[in-house]
Amino acid sequence: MEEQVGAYWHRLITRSANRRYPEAVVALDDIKKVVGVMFRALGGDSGLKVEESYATNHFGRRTFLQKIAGSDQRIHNSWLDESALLLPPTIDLLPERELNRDLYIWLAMLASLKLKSREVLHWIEQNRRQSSATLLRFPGFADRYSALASAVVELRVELKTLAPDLRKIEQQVREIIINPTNPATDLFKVGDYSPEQSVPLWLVPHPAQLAGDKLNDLDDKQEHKSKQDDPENGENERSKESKKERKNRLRKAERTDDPDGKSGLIAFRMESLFTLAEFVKVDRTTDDESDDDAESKAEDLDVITISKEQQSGKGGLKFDLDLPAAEYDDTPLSAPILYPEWNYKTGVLEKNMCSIVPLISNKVESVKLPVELQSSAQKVRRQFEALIPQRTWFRGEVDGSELDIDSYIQFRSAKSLSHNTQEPALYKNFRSGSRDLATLLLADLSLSTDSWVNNHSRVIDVIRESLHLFADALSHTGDRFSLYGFSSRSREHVRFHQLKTFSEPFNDQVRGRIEDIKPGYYTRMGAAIRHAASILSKQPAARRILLILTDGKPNDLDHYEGRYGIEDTREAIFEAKRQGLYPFCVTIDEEGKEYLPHIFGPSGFIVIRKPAELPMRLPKLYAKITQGEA
Amino acid sequence: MNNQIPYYQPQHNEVDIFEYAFSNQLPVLIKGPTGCGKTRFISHMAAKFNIPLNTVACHDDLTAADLVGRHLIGDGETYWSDGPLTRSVRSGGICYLDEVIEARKDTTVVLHPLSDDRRILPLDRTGEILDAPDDFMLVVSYNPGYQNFLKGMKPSTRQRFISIRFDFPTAELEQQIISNESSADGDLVKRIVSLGRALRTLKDHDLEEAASTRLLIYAARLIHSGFDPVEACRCSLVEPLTDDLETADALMEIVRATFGR
Repeated sequence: MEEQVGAYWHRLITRSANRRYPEAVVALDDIKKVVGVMFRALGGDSGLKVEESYATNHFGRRTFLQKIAGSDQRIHNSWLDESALLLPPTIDLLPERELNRDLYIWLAMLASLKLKSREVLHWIEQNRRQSSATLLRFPGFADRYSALASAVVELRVELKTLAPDLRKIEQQVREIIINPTNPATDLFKVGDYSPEQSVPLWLVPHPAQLAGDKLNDLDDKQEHKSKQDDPENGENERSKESKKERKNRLRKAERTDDPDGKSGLIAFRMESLFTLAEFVKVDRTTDDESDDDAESKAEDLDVITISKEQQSGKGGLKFDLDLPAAEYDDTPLSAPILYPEWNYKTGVLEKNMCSIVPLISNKVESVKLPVELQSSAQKVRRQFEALIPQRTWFRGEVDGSELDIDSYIQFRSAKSLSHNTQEPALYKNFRSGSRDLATLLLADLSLSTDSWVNNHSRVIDVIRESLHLFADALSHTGDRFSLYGFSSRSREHVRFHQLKTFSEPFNDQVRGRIEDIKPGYYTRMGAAIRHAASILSKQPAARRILLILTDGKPNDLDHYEGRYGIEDTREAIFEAKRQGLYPFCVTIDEEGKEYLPHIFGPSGFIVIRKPAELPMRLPKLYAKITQGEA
Repeated sequence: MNNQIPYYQPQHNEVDIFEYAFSNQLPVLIKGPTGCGKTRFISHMAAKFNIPLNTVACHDDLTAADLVGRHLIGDGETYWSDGPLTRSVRSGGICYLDEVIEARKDTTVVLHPLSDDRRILPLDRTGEILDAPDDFMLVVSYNPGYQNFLKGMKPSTRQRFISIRFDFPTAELEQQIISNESSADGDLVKRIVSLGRALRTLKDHDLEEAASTRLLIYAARLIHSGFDPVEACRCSLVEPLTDDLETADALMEIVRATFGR
């Protein structure tokens, strides 16, 4: 009974506290693409993704009811970080759907604008200038903006409930919202101030930075829950955007210093009971075990305290992905080959960064085409006969289906001029021509291919089947092709498995190698593409196609992940294109649409939604992209 | 021929290059995205030199005979009919092969003897060898951005031409061009140009092709003649650029933000 009453009360009070309009809700998912395209069109960095922001505390005041209800402690703000534009997952603040949608669009427009300013501005002033510039740039949005602005002001706390000094500030905030083109007074040029309530029309600074600002300001107030020991340090720390923050991004984060490793805790205080929410500075340098229920503990915590470690925890990661002993491993074909890598942060192609190790399977068993694939192989072969090589009219044939008018007229005119004529070739025929093509198929063999796509097969099995069918179909058309696979374990060891070279005939031994592929390690795509491109560019064919088969983003043990990996891969693709190759990517990663256009261009890739279809789709795809060559 | 010289706004030194190439009897290759003024440039130059212009739109079924000429059958006899290239060589003037990349590679080989210092066109079917007159000029153009996966120009063909790269003009020049072509007023033109430039940044990520100056001119003409601006942009800018609904939605948002509503 008590519980029920409690639940009713909670529902009642939260409903009256939250002035939300669930019937007018707009979800980011529905509008993500529109927002993304707008953001890029208006000058936003095309390498950035649009993502959902995580909830952060807001430092402003809540309304009385909101306090009672305990709601709105955490809100979804919008901000930009180094790899994404983060927007609230849903917006239902405003009473009309159109307004909520416009709010997303406004945020995208605001974020895309890059203002050059030497002075360090307060973020509110920054927002004001950005809003003002955006409105100047898009005069057509003015009406919609003022509708938005007045709706947003409607939601704000009443002025009379505020203390006089706060009231003044609140009034200014409102003025800025209503009319951002008016230069504000000096209030927001210096000093730190957050408005009483968050302003959904504005972009906030990065939450970590905002938290840092707060800490600096409040360091003398002991009651603040920050355990930041060294506020002077805050400045430096804040400026260094750390990756850890991204990893913990669904939590609120705060920083603390790392224990120095010299002064560990010795005494154990039996009488005290530590709660999870407390951070205790224990030097656990030797504590190597992972916390099994870390996830559930993280759930319970309001604040997760993280620190900047002096040394990275590489030691723990190494052992599980060590290379097999030399005698069990595949046979290296040559000494490692060095390739450069692109560092987007510095914009430099760093020389000799990666070393490629060409390998060949040491199992040399001959294998026939697996029985279960034979019927599919037949089907694909038949499709290939119909599809490629493309058929064209051949003129001047001795025998053919139609008369070649041109040759006939020539023959007649020559005859009437009483020239000697040889046996006339007066027909034209419709048949396939020869194709001057070379294709290199590069398959991703990283550990992620070990995952299951359905009850019967893993990604690697799908890739294996695809290789079988693809090779089988191509060997029947007479197109030149080769097959390679790759995986990597950091930049010193990018494994490049040779399955079939261009010069090798396709036989049971090659099938044996395909059968032998197994998942392992990571995906350092850039280096593998560079090596594949250098092999392919030695082929004399007029058209050289680099077909890349993958299941996810480029990543590796070290910093090769996220944007770094994507930008390096992009650069490798550019290099390949400059060498006159045609790269094309086939992926089964559903999220591929988000980053692949950046790497391969809008028509340089395809996402296959059902991985199980890949083996049948791949040969068809090949037929499609190679059509048009007579 | 119309005596009036078609309007062309030089972007760089292309007019000079073309004049020098013409006086030195060198063939010219022009590359650039669609709708950036390649064809207009050629007709401008032809009118300026006061020489005829023969344009051939190339396609993938274009044969050498289509360019050079062929025998036709008449009343009990056959007679020779010149193709556009041969006509141009006989009469002088500019022979302009538009989108030459579309033509099959073996077709473009007939251009080789014309485009080096021999400047001859052998007609093996009639046994003639035509010497190109001094005012004959061969001009070819293509759009390097097209996604023709398997098409390209033979290097041996490419290396016979003086090459000029065209790109979209700067904002100020583009405003001038559009207001000249559509006689729309300054503010409208400014908005259209900034809209066009915003759409161009989407090339290679969301759009296959950049919004051309030609499309912007169309939009300006429609709006200037009284059509609703937002709708004009939809049918002259957004729909021609994308088939994807969501992308079109996003582009329309930009249009609405530019023109109100």
